[in-house]
Amino acid sequence: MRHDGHRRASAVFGAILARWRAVLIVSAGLSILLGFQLTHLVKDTSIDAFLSPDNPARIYRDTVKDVFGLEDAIVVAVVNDAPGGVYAPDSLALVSWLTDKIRMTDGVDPERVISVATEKNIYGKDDELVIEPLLAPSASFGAAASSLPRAIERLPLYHGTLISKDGRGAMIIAEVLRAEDAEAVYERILSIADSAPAGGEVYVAGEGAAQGYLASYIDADARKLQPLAFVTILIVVAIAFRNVFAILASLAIIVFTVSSSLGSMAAFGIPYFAITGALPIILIGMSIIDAVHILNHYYAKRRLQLHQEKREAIVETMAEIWRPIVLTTLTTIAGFVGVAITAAMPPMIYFALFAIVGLAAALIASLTLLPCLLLIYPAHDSAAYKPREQQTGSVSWLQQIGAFFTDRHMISLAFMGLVALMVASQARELTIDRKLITNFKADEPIRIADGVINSRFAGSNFLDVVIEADAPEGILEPEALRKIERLQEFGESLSFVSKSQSIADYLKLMNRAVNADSDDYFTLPETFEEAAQYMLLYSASADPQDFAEEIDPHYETALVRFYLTTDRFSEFAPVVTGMQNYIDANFQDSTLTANMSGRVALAYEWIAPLGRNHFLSVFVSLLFITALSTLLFRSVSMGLLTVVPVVLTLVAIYGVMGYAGIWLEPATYMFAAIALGLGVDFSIHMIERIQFYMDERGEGFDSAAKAVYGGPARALFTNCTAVGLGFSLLMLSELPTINRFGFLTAVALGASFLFSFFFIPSLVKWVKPKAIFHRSGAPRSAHKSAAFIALLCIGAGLTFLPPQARAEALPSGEEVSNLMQAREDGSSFAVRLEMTMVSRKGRERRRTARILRLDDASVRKLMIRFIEPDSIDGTAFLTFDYRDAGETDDQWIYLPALRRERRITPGDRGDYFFGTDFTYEDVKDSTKFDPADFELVPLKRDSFEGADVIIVSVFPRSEKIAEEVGYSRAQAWIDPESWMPVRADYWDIAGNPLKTISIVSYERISGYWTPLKIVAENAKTGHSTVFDFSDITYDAAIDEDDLTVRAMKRKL
Amino acid sequence: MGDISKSVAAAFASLAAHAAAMPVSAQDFELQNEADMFIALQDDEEPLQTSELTWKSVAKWRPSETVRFFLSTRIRIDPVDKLEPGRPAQEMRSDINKRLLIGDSMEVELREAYVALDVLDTDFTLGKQQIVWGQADGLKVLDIVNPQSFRSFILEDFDQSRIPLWSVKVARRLGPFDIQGLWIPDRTYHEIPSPDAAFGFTSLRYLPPVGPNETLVALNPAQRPDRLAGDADYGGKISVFAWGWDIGLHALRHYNDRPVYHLQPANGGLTATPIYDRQTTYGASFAKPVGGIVFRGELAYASGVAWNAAPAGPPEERIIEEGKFSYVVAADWRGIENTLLSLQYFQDRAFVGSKPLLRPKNDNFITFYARHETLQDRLTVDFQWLTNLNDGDGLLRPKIRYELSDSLRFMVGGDWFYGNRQGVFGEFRNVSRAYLRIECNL
Repeated sequence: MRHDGHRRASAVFGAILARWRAVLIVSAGLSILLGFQLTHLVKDTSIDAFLSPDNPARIYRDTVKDVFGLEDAIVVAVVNDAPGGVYAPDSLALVSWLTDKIRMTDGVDPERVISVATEKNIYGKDDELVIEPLLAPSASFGAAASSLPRAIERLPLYHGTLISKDGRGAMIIAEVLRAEDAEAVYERILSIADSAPAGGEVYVAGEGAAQGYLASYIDADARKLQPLAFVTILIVVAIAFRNVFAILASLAIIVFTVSSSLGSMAAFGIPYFAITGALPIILIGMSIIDAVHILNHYYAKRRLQLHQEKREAIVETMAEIWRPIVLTTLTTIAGFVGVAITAAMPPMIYFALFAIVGLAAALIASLTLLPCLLLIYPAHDSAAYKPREQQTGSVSWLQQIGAFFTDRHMISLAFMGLVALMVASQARELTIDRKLITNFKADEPIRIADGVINSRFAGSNFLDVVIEADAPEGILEPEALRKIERLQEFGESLSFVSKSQSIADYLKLMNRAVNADSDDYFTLPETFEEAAQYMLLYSASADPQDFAEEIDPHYETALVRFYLTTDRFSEFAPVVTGMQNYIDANFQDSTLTANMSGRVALAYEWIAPLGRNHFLSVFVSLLFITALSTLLFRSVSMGLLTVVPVVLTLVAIYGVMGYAGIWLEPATYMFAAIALGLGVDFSIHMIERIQFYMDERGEGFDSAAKAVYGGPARALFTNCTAVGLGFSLLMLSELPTINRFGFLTAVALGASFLFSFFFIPSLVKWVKPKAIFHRSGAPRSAHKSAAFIALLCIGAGLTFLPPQARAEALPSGEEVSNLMQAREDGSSFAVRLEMTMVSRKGRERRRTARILRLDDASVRKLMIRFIEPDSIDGTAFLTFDYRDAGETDDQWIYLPALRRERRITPGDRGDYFFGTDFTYEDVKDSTKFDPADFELVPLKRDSFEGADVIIVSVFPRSEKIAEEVGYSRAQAWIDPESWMPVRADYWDIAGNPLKTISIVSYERISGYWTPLKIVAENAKTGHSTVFDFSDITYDAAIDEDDLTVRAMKRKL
Repeated sequence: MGDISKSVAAAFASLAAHAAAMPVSAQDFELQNEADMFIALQDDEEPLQTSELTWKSVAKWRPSETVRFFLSTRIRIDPVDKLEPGRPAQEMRSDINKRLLIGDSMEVELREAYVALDVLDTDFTLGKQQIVWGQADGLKVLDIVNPQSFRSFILEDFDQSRIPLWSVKVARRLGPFDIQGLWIPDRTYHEIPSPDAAFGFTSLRYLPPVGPNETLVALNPAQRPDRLAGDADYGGKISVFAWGWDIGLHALRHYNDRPVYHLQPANGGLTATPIYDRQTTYGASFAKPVGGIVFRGELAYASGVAWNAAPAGPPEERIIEEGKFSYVVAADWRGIENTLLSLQYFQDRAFVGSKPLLRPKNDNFITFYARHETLQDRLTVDFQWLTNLNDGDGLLRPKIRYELSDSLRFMVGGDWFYGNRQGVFGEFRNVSRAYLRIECNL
């Protein structure tokens, strides 16, 4: 069969060579035609491009834009750290000057420039509503410097937005008219900032600025890297072949490939996205792979058969090599097919599709154009290919290593197993994340500005929630406004949310203003009529357009804007999911609906599926590649065998990412599929050549393998170097994320070359697949094949398990709560408790107590009696915690100095327990959150100190409960095995960090999960308390009489 | 009488000896010592009111799960000697409850000495002990089992001013009920300092009812009950926790701890003899949290209470015996973190009809108490205000307590009396004081 195939192939290539003129003309014509299309290429570097136009979130955001006109904003900050801060007259003058200049800037929406110079003061005077500019144009800045701080203090709405909380910064927010102009507008505002008068440091940042600047970054990148890649690859080819023809032929193939790919992209009207910049660079590297193999084979052949006729040598070369070339190109294409099928983001889909186009073009050029060029080019040989006896350097070095591994294949396999385990252990650390601003280098002004703005102000990242009423004016209904207020309270309680703004805030201001400016009235209007009148009053005294960003003219739709201080996915994702959970729970009725929008919500929408899609794309690519290899070798075990090195490579790369803390993000998303497609080429070539030498030359396995190390391995090495260098060039990119992509792909290539090179002959020798060995009559070992497949499965499992486990669906809050609640803790319990209280200065106090607990069907009784020190000896605390959620707890305290028990209210449960950092509530049970009192909102799965945890937000179900327990929310890290909260952070009613309780050690005792050491650290006082438990007995015979009020007085 | 008290002491001693035969381990035995230094200054030519060193020792021994011994002693040395000038006669105390006085300024007192047994699911507490009923702060309605020393009026902690009595307490649980029975053969009554003491009672309401035109020629020794069994106090209490309520019902047959003066004409004047009268008190107590507030209260009705009538009419008839009803209602609120606010209204009604009493027929008090703990309970700021609504007089008690370590505490504060000199509080206007207390566990 093989001989038939060879004959047919020879006939085909003979025919191609016969028509060399036609081939050259068609190739040149197509290159020119598609090359011209490049002039039509349009750029779209917006983040919106990452969401498909029919994505509901994008459609919704566009609708919201229509109502509220929210475009990307460029944020300008003026910071003055001198005394007086930004209220100093020259700073105010600067803010005013900048505001005027920015308003007049081309591309900026003049109606949507917000600063202290544009916004209004709302207050009451003689029961009248007064609305006047905060910074009157006519007023002197000196006068404003003294009056403005007081006005701002009365307007919490503007804290952290117009003026930083420390009074040292002022912010100007300017919306650009069209997203595509963002870059130009950013540049214009930068030049305004450069010419600004004195008065403070000026910083320019914001999502709009970042988008705009990103575009210029990409441009700079493309201009710099593409020619560099071109030159580098040609140098590698020159060194490998030491022959002018190889350089010229590579040049021709590269031009044909890149013009085919990018030209067809332009012809189809597909824009050049942020990540498209990497496409020509990787195509330059990948396009010459096939040519390198052909030339390598050709020159090697020429070296052996010096007198063979040139045409015949070319035809023979092509007939011998076409199969692996086509196959390896197909496997590379398969890698991109995996991406194209699974990616949700259009830029990635197009990236993969046009990479496929480029690869196909490169293959066609290599199979047609290259032999024709070879035919017509006068020179015959490569200086690099000398007769066998003259060979030195890398080739003999490669051969020696190859021989070593072929002879000692079990050592090589053991080594492979070890490497697999090592890298797999690091792969567990892989995280999916993204932070737009880290696309810029650390010393970029925009990154510095972003840091300043997000640390001093409420943040430059917005999450919008659109509230829609079912009827006009529905938003002004008291219930709707209260819901908005509560939504804001909830949002502000989340980490990284520093502020929110809505129409409710303005209505509160107006309510206060019309009630003699009394702070008692800084509340929502109580009736619809009041709210409606305030809006009317405002429109009578000022421009009703002032509220265009908060409410639509029919008062049917309102926008609540949350300011986030982060644009990092892992930090804002819990905010988005928490908000969605809250919306689902609180905006279900038909009168009021809520939906998220804004930049943060959109970013969440496209980054969240990244992880799942990435692993899916890897899986699909792997499937295609295995299927193709199976077809090529007509053997399933051979198909599987070829993918072993790339699977190992993938695990290694995940390991490198985990170790180096490189996130899986849009820029690094595709490396795996590319590495799979390219990396598998090495093993295919290795196996195919071994098979070829055994088959064609009748050699035994060992000598065939060693022959491969002598010849084809050289081509593989050249290819690996060329393509690897091509990807390494990406490390010179201006975009740090592209750097990482280049680095990862280059490492992946290197790793798959090494794995194929070292392990393929050993694997083949061990497995002895039928496709190779049946011909030479060697016995076939079924159990080795089975073992090999098992090994492969384990390898794959090691790779995919950690991310899959992390991607496992989150349980609902109710489930977590119930599972925590269901954790068994015995019907009774006795323990000795040592408490160590440590002050900020390190001073220690110690207390010792005995704890008794007894549960029955209706009540849990708990008594804590102090035994040391003497001053509190005999003090006892008794609580009855009823199972019936509606029934409040009963609590008593016995103070020996008074010799009286005292009833205390369960409302005291937020009080600190005997000077510790634990409250009465914590003491009752700090390992559970009672579902009757707390709502749990799972945020994500994560790892904590090396263990898997589920992070949940904990919210008291009512303000009353929050007041009682003394905190407005908590975030807990819950061990999904024991359902213990290994750590919980608490925030006080005002939203400030309050304390952290960590269960430092816990274990199963008598079958029950038991904390052994709990630490509470008070964030406000620096005081901490350690609870150490010992002498733990479960299900001991505890007399009910020992848990009574009378028993409290008994001194044990 | 002496024999009987000796036999009680002997019984206690034999029990102790029996228990002593059991091996003692360090864990079963515990000794605690506390030394307090208390210095109070008043606005006077000799400003030092007291400079008292108190040494309290407690020994606890638990030889087995069911037997427990408790011994507590107190030694006080006060060189200033204004609170109890000289060597008080201790005539209000029974023979077995007297303090050992050494010189004018030192006393040694066996505060408590009892054995607690847990036998047949019943707790027996035998020996000298404090038995506390009720929950009221500062004023007493049901806390009537033990008498009190008034050497510092009501300024001393009740734990220290309460006079422990030799008594038998039996307690056990019966279904949901806690039942307590008491038998108190120790006939010791309120210790009222002599009129020349810093807190000597000078208010007319506590003195023999002698009119302005009459002369008291002699104050006879008090007539004390003298039968061990027949004059012993006895009573009981049933308490239950039901539907979230703490409820207690109390009854005590007892001698009034304060005597009434029986007047007799003699030698052109009058003689007064303080006589203790017996009465029965029935009481109830309750507590329940409602919202964030704990409401609590105590009610007591005593029948056959004797009072001195106002100095009018024949001296022999200046005694009225009628019922008395007193109650306290209180609310405790801890709505502010680490803070307790407590308000009490207290009323004491004498059902004497139109008969003239020395004291008001309805005595009304309000007390307010605030406490805030901070610095992890190291620093406690206290404020108590007690006022009598009849006379408008009162007492203000600010106090700051700082815990330097587990074993060392400092307190500074003041007790400021104001109002009508004939009032319960106003009579001590001259002895308002500022103080420093240092407590040290050793």
